Amino acid sequence: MTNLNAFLISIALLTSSQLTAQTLALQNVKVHTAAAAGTLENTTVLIKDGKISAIGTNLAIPVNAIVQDLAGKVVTPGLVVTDTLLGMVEISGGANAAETGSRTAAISAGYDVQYAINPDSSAIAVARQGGVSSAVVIPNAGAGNANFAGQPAMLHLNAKPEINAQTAVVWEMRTQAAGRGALFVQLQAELADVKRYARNKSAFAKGELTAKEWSVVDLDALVPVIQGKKPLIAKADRAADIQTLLHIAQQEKIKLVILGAAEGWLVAAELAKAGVTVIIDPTNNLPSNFDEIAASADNAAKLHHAGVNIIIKGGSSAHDAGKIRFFAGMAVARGLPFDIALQAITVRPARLFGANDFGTVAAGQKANLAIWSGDPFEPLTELTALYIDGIAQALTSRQNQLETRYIKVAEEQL
Amino acid sequence: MRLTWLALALALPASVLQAQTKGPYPSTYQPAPAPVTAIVGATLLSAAGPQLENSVIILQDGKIQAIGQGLAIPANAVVFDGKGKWLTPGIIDIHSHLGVFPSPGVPSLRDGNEKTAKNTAEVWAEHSMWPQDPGFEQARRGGVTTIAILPGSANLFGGRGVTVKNVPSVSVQGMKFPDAAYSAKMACGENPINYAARGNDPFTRMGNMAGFRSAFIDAQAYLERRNASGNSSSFKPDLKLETLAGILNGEIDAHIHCYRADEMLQMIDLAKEFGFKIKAFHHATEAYKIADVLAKEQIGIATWADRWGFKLEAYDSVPLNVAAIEWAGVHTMLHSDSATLIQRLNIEAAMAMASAKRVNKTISREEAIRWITLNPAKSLGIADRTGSLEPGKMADLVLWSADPFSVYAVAEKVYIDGVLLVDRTQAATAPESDFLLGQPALEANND
Repeated sequence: MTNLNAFLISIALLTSSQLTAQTLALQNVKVHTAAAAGTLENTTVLIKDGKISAIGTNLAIPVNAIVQDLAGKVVTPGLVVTDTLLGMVEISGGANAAETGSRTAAISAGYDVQYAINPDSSAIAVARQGGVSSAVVIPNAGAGNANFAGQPAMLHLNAKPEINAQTAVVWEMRTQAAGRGALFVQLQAELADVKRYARNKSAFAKGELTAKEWSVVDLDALVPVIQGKKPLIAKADRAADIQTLLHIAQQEKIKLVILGAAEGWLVAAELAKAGVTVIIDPTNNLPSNFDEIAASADNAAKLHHAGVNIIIKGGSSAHDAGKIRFFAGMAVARGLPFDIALQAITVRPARLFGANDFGTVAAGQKANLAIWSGDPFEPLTELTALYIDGIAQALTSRQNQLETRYIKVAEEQL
Repeated sequence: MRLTWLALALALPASVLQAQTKGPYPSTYQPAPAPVTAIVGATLLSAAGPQLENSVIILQDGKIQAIGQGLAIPANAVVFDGKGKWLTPGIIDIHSHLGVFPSPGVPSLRDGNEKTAKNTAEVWAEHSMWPQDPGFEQARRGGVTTIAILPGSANLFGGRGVTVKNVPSVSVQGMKFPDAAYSAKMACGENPINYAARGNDPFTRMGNMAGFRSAFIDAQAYLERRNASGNSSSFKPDLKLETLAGILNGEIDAHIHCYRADEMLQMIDLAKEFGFKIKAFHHATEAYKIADVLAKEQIGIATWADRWGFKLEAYDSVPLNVAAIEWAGVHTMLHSDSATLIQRLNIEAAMAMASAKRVNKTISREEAIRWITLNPAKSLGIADRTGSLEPGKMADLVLWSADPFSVYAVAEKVYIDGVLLVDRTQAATAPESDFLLGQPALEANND
């Protein structure tokens, strides 16, 4: 009973402290801003009303501010993990605990990730422990050999997770299903239908949309894509496929993003010229199949040096979301500049998926901040705090409770 | 030659099928000649002793000739400046499927698991291993010098593993670690049951246990018959039972894929029922729940830093697993089970080290390096020859550009038996895998 009371009190405390964002001054920190300001040494970050109100060395500190001397600590924006199944998958495979995409052929582009995210997934707390404050949840292509996979969501890992839905539409090659000779023809026919529908929605009722048997939710999802208002995220790896997609995107004036791009470096100049963002796993250096013969650990650095806007992803499993910082570090080890690697896991995915109010450490941005004991990409560096909307997040998970139950030194830490 | 070995195998079934060079399909590996080499000024983690600053290491005739500070350097030595860099033993991965589940992962190369029955102890991974898997070169570029290639884990008995030196070769025989013991791969839990979903048994965990027990009862009877025959040439060996009998008489090491604590305890009781030793549990994400038992039973654990959740039996994995079992005195190892993770086992070790800091404890670099070098060497029975930097051992080592537990460290030079096989200071050369050679997509100087 005593334990239960203590537990309830701690929950109450946790809840009350999380409901209100305090005025905070983080002093004597090194800040990697992920913005034009680059890295600031020995500075102060002021947080007010959940936002970063100022950064600098001679700030007037409000009298009500809680001042923290964080000498030796490093501040980055909260990390944004891109292409993850966080919230969708509790356990991979079976157990009614994993949804990775649409299970009906009737809905593909319209598949909406926001409804598949379980805010109570235990993987969310584990991601937070890796300094992740937001996640771009991207579905896999689903039933019926559909190429359109659906609409990703931006998941914010607050204590009560928030979701910005319908940020883009994902399209996946699935070359084995229809074959390239069919699927690119089909894609163009479908985009022509969407264009017709966007101009006049009655085209659907009149039966003028003939590329396939459409569902109206799929058409509606694709309208902002054909209008260039939302990106089309195309999963492709082979250099020639990327070129084909570039051509189609240019023709249709679509805002194209390539996800995967194992052979992206081979067509880096064309990607840069088209201003196409590329989302890559920098550790993908094996020819897993004949679309990835030129997979290379130098992909990230080569794309960047050619002028391509890259975003870094890690494994797409929900459970590995908190490891995104190591993927950034491994890209740096292979020649990507540090600042670019940090942007590639913070501000770039935020902006690509439609958010302007977080992703950098700059005045006016949401106070989504990760505090580190040192270089954020180093495995031996610890996350010491994570703020989302200026609120300090609990950095514990179910895993820690297991540790406490079974491992003596962990228990002694209580 | 092949016929001779076959005849021998039939004539001497009890002993011949065991050690890798003495039995059939022997190792033909011969290290290339290499110059006397000295690396001077590096920080050295030997895996056998304390961290040594400003070290000198001298390699000669494929062996480590001397290690120390301020050693005299032979006049004929090729000398490299190691200042600011780190030296470690070559990394050893005790759980890999390179070559048996190679890249490209096309159906015709899915050779890693003969899952046609719950017990395929008769198959040997070396007979599937494709030496042209480009993953070998990438692993070497990650500092990996020795690899245990295991068959897959969809059945109770997956077959025999093979230990190889990670050297370019046209054959598996040209890679086989000379005179290394054979291993046998067993698997408990979800995998054998999922295999049953295709219409076979076992269908449940109790079915798994029944399958293990029946097999070992058969193996006991086989051993008795074989012993009674007095190794007579008329005794017809059974490939499947040879492997199981090898587990029972200690000639073949049992390596068991197992995640849950309760299932590991069942397997320990199984081993006691049939009187064999379990060399190591692999994956073992719940080892921390039974650390004291594992230490007492002297069973090794090969696991990841914190992989979890990819199936229900891996749901209770915790980041402190590795540190906790190390502190409990368990023989602790990290493994990859992955063609990408094998390239960064040093970072995996760093992640496991970091978890200790969270509970205000420390795992030293000296301890952590053993997880990926000396400890797997011991479990593979090759620690007398490799796994640590000590005079007389094989010159299998890595010169890292930085602290090997840094994400920024790259394996700048990798030596196997004194031969410099990776040198990142030199311009990229053609890929070593024949599969990648001359691929038009790669002609743009890929790395």
